[in-house]
Amino acid sequence: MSEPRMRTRDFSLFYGEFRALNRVSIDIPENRITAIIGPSGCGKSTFLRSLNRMNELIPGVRTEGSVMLDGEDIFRKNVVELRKKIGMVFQRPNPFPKSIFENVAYGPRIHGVRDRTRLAAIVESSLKASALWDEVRDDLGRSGLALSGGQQQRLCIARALAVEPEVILMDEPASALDPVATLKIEELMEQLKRDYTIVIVTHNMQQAARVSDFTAFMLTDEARAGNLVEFGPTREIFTTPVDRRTEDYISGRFG
Amino acid sequence: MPRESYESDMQVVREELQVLAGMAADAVENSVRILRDRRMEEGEALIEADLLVNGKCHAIEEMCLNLVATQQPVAGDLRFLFSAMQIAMQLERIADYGKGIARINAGMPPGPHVKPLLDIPRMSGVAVSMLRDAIAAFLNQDAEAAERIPARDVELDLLYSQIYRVLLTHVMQDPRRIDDALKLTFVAHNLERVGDRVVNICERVIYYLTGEVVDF
Amino acid sequence: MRGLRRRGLAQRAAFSVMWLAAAASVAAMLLVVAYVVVQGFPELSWEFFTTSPRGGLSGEGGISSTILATIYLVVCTLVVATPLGVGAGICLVEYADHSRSPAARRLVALARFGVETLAGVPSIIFGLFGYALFVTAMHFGFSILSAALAGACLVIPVVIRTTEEALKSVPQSYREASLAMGATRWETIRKVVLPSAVTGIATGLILSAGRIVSETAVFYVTLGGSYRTPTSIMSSGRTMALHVYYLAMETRAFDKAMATGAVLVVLIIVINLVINLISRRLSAGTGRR
Repeated sequence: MSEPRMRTRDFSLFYGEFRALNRVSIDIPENRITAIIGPSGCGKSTFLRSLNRMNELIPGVRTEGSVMLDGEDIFRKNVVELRKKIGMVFQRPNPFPKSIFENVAYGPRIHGVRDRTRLAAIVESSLKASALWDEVRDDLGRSGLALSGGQQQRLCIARALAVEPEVILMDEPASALDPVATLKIEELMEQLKRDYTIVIVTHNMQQAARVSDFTAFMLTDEARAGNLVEFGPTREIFTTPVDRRTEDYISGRFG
Repeated sequence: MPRESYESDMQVVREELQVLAGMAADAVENSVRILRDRRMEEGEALIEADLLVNGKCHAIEEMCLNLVATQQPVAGDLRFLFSAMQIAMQLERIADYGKGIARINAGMPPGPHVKPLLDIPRMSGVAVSMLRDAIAAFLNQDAEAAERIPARDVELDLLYSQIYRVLLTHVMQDPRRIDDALKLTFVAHNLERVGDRVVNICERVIYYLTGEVVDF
Repeated sequence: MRGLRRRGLAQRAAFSVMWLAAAASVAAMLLVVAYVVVQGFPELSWEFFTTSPRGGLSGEGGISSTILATIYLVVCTLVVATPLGVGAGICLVEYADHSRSPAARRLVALARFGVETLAGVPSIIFGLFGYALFVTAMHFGFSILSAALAGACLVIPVVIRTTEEALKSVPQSYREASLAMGATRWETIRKVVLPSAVTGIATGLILSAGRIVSETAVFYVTLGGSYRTPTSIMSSGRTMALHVYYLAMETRAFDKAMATGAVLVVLIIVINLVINLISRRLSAGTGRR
């Protein structure tokens, strides 16, 4: 398999003196879906948000160890450029209170695209890639907030795709959606992984098993720091996990 | 304990598998005894009792399928259920061999055999003890014990060759008993196949306990 | 069963008392407004609105110059107060909260405390301050400029507070979504946060306009009392509120005072209606539905 897209080595994160993540080392493979699972509070979202440096928005956050994107240290890279290459979709759909068109065009506009025809083309291809185009093509001027929950989430995905990232981070993207919308998002992920590298945090183990190619299992230790317990191909994790704790968690035997 | 009803359902599968194994072992053991002592009525009963064995096997399969559908088992639990279904099938085939032996007995005219049966009961003893040990390894989750059993299959092969040679000699001395001799070789062949099935069971047990696929 | 009935009665009694209190308060306010409006209505005419007061003891004339003075004053005050107040609000909410140095955070806490205190300072203090600094020390004299500057000091705390509230009510998820796409903080503020907060900020500005229209103490000592139409920002003048005072104190034209008061009251009611409309639009969201 090709080189991993992203690679963390002994990555630790601190809120002031408190260590929240403990020496996490993971290779994120290219054009695959990597799922991060674990009980609540194990640090999986914290880890995800470190990959695009969103944790820097919290005052008092400090990191140790390295995170590389295509061999480049992300902490040395310009953060605006970094976030153009690494997109993010959040747990609760959060379209801007603007029209559908303006929502998707927001990213490209920020990064310098002014030509109206080019913007329209980007909006159309992004909405097609996120399987929303057919449902909204007739009225792109409608407010993004007027869509259903599942459609809003796909709008947010289109918005993230419009800046043409290489990696997409998804933080429990379907947890606020009903089962039908959830399945649509999962199908979408299957299609997207052909062109993008996807990392998804989920507390839904069946979703992780269904959707991902690789799975990472995280757990807090006695010092309440998040640790990586096991990482491997999903089918191996779910049929023959190596670590006892992984087996107990995925079998539902955690107290 | 988390997932209590799930755990107790799994325990039921274990217990039923133990019962089925007992039924299969008894079928083989009894069928050889019936053959040796020419007990014709018991033979009939054994052949009919095979229906119960089939029923038990299907019941176990259905339980496992149900658990897979409703509980989304993964890892060790999944391997357990998968192996349990496979082992149940093997046990059903073993019981069929017992039924086959009883059928052969029913097809032979009453009276003593071409020679007193010594090696065939010995084969049956080895095969049945292998079977009981394999099931114990499964229920006790003892992978090492399961690994040691397939080696005893050699003994069955040796006994089979010996039986074949002896019967051949008898036929050459007295060609009129060739029909009995052939049927007896077939019985030995069935017992040898029981040993093969037990080896399959051991492979499944090892897969369940370690996740490794082995071929003995 | 008896307990249930007693509790039901107790509830009805309590609600009745509260209704009475509410009705009484509303009635009292309506009485004041009605009295002024009814008293002043007869004087209202086209000439009243288009002629200047003629000054002197007679109280002849209308209120045209005061209308203009009020408008000029509101505009000038907002021109000063808006960039300062909105800018400070943006700074406090968007940047200072996320700053890493403890010194900056202490400064912010101090600034917040200062804003809260200033909001409660009696307006005459701002008037005296304006008189001492703008009218006298800086030699602006009694003028719209001095009054606007003093008035700005008065309304800036309100503008800062409403701006802060409006910005805080923009969900953090919008900011996160924008930043995660590679926008800078300032781009996020300009393109996502401010457009969402604009109705809240506008409400604050209109509130301030209303404050300026009704304010007397501050402008009494900074605007002077000229009854002539102001021609530049250095001109003196009088707002409608001040005109009511002058008419009542210096002339016998009580009816004209009432009339001016009526106009003021109607203006305030209109301003509040506008505020109501805007805040209802706030909760309805933006974009076509």
